[in-house]
Amino acid sequence: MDASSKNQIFKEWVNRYYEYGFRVAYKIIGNEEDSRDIIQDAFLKVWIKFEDYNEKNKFSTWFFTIVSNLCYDRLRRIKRASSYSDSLAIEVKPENESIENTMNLKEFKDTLIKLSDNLSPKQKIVFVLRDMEDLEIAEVCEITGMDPEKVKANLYYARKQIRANLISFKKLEERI
Amino acid sequence: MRCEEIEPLIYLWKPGELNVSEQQAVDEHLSGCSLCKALQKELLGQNLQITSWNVKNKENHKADFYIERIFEKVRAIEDNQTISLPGRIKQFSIYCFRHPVYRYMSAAIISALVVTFLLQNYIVYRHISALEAKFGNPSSYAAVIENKPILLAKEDFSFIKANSIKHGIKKPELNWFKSSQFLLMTMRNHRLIQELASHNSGIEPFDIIKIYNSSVFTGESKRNQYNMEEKL
Repeated sequence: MDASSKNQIFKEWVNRYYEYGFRVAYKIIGNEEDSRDIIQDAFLKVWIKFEDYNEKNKFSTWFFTIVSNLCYDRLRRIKRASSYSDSLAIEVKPENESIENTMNLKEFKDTLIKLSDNLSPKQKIVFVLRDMEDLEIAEVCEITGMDPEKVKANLYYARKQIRANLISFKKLEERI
Repeated sequence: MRCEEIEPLIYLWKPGELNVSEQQAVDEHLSGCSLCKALQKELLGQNLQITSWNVKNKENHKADFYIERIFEKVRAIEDNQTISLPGRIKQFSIYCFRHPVYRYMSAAIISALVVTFLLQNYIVYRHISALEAKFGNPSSYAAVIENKPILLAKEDFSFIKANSIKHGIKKPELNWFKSSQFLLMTMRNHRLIQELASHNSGIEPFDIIKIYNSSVFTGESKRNQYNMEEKL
C-alpha cells in the first residue's frame, strides 16, 4: 500500500471514529482530558501498527481493542476517576421522560460516577461496551480478549454492583 | 432450581447471553417465582435507564482541534527519522503555539521582554538626560571606569581609542550609551586606565561620581570585569 492511500484511510478512520471512541473512553474513564489522551494514543498505535490490520476484521473492533487496553491500563493506574469536565453533559433521550422526572441532569452525572466507581477495570469496560454501547457478546470478547464465560461473569458482577449502587443512591436521595 | 442458583442467570437477561438450556431454566423459574420476576423487571428498568444516558460534547470544535493534533503527531512520527534537530525544535514550537495556553504564555513572555527593554531604555535615557542637564557641553564625554563615572573631554576619547589599539583592544567601549551630548563608556583595562589617569590629570571626578553612582553605571558585575581583564 502506498503512503497516500495509507494516509487517506487513516484520515477516514480518525474522522469517523474519533468522537465515538472518545465517548466510549469517557464512559469508562470519566475524565475528558484522560479520554482525549487515550484516543490520541490509540490512533497513534493504529498508525504504527497499520500494516498489522487485517482487512477481513472490522476496524471498529480492532480500534476498540486498543482503546479498551489503554483504558484498562489507565484505570489500573488511577483508582478513582477524576471529576467531569464542564464541557460535557449527560444527555437524556426525550422518550425517557419518566427517568428525567426522577433525576435531574446534575444528579445523572453524579450517579454515573457513583454507579461505576467501585467496579473493577474489567467489569467497567465490559459493562460500558455491552450495556452502554450495546455491543454483541462476541464483539466484547474480541475487544477485551476475554472468553465469553469471563465476559458474562464480569457482566454479572458489574450489573449486580450497579444495581446495588442504584438502590443505595436512591435511598440516599429519598433521605435528602 | 433455587432462587440463589437462578439469580446469576437473571442478571444475564440480554439476548445472546444465555444458552438454550439456561434460558429454559430461567423461564421455568420465573413462571413460579414472583420475587425473581420482580428482579428481572427491575434489571430491565435499570438497563433502560442506563442506555438513556449519553455523553454529549457541547464543544464540537474541540474534536477538530484534537483530530488535527493526531495528524500532527503522525506526521511527526513519519518525519522523525529524516528531520534534523533544528527541524524538530521548529516542529515542536509550531505544535506548542497551536495550543491556546502556549500561545497566550508566549505572548505574555514576549510582552514582558518588550516592556523590560523599554523600561531599561527609559531608565538609561533619564540618566543621560540628567547628565545633559548638569553638564550640557556637547564636546564632553562621561566615562565609567571601574564602575565609577568620570567626565572626559573630547580629546580624551580619542586618546582612549588610540591607546586601545596600542593595547590590542579592538573595542574599548564594552558598554556604551550614546546621546546627543554624552558617550558613556565602560572600561575594564588597568593599563589603559593608568594611561588615561596620567594623561587626564586635570579631571576631578569625585563630584560627578556622587551624582552618577547609580545602578545603570555600576550594574556591571565584578565577574564580567575579571573575565575581561583575563581576556585582555
